[in-house]
Amino acid sequence: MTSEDPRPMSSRSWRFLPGWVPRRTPDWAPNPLAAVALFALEALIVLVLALAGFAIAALALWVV
Amino acid sequence: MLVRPAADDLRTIGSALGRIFLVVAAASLIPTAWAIAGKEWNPLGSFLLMGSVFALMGVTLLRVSLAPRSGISTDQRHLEWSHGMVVVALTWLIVPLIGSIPFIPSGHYASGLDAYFDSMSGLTTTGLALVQDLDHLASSLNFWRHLLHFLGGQGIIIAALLLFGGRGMLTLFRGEGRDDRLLPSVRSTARAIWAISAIHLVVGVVALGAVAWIVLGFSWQRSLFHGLMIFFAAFDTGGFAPQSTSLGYYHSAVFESVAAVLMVAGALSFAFHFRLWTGVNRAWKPALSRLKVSVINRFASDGPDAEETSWQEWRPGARRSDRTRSLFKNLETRSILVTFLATLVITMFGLAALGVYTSVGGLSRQGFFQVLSAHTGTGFATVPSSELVHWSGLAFGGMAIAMALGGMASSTAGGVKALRVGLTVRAVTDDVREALLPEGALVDTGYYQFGRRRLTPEVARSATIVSLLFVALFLLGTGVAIAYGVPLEQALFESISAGASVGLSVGVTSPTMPLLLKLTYIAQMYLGRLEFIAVFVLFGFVYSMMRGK
Repeated sequence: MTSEDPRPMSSRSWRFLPGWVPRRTPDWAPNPLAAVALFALEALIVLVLALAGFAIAALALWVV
Repeated sequence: MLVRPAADDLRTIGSALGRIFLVVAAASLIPTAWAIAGKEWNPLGSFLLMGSVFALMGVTLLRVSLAPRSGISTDQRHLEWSHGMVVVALTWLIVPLIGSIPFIPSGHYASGLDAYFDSMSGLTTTGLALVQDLDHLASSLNFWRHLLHFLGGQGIIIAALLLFGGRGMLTLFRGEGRDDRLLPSVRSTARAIWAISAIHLVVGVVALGAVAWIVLGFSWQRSLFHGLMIFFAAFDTGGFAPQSTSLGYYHSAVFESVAAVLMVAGALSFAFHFRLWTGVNRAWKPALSRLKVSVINRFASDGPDAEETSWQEWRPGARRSDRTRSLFKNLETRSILVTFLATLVITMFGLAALGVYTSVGGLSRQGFFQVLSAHTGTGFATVPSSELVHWSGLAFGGMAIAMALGGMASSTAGGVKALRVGLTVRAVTDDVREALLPEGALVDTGYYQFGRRRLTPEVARSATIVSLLFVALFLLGTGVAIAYGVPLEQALFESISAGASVGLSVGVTSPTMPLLLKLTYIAQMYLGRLEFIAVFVLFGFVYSMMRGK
């Protein structure tokens, strides 16, 4: 185990290891403006699936 | 030898339960305020009673369990795995029970059991309903039905974690059927899940409300109401609707499309959202910087459960775009895409063979929406159950499979889940490859799921066991319905719908159905939502209290 990889056996024991330096771990909060882009991305997924559905429906009616 | 739980175990469980009840008591203030604003005085009394019961139970449990007796307070005790499972299982039994109080005196339910059925259906995000004359239900009661979806879908436990925290939170988190830890601490993960949901709430309600206002010509108040209700039901893959004809009420392809986006969003795991969002943040960063809007990626202190995380992913300099691209390499993403397209093909060909729809437009619109609703576990319908019952043969098969498979793990959707399907298929193909290769040859058992992983026998066994338990659950409901004379196809359809938290119905679920069938569906919704383990642990806990030494 090195200082680069502070994964210990338990969350508390390694805090008392000699030379351990408190390391800040990442937190995250969404950017509200990016939400619009995310919604558009999800809409794009649905659009692609719907187009696939349209093609399958056309094929099904043509075959049957 | 069975060990009888000690008094300290009960106090630990009581303390966690008390906190959760206080959270639900706080949530019940929202429909209370709604009833006051709408001058709905009869429901108001019921909401006040319900909130008081939750608050009283919460305070009592906390006072009893936090009283120092053994020299160590309950807060200092670690919530062990079994405690967490028991807390989760009890929460999902008791909250719908007390949550059904406002429904009982409304006159829209034939009995208290029917009210409990709807309450359980709401909380488990199933969507099957026994409410009568829904179109004339008080708006505050309708709101409470949909809020139950939101509480159940986002996770009451997650809300409690966010507000109260405490030690051993991971066990509660996992007990509710969630595996993804987006961030090192469970508390920051809970915060991220609620942040994702809150942003979707704003965007979703605005989008749905705008369509209702502009396209459908609703008043702005009515647009807001319908937007909010449909958002709760779509994003939490619930399936309740404010009108008895579900989404068919709106007769609008645009409204259905916006709802479909939210349904898909709900069926994606929060880990998927999270990584998609961090990727979007990166793509937008230059533009946002120009607008003087900072991309928020702040750093906070360690949480108490910080031992397991993908540290490499978060090291300085890690590329976020890689994370986004890798989403489509995931076994789960590929699995859900394949199963969705396969069930879509089966259903479309079945419908074409039945001659239900003769135009490409009609077939693609109805077929696509119904399969999407089934696969995401939402349960919205744009065709009435009297028409859905005639979707037999291949169409029935496609819909039933779609419902059973469900969405992504750690999403709000139910069912077997795409990851388990992918893992089970992968385990089978690995076995076949091993049999075909020369003796002693090594088979690569690796797969990609937010990083390279190895498919160990334990992982494969766990996925297979839960999948088999789901099959058994579906067969249980089918058997009970058949015993009451329901035709096999309808019995199977309704049973899968209840067990996989979907909510589509071919008409079996009704206030007049037999008592045992109602109880069976309630049990199916409960077991399916918690994915068995927490419920089994509760059984074991009760048994060890009675027979342990």
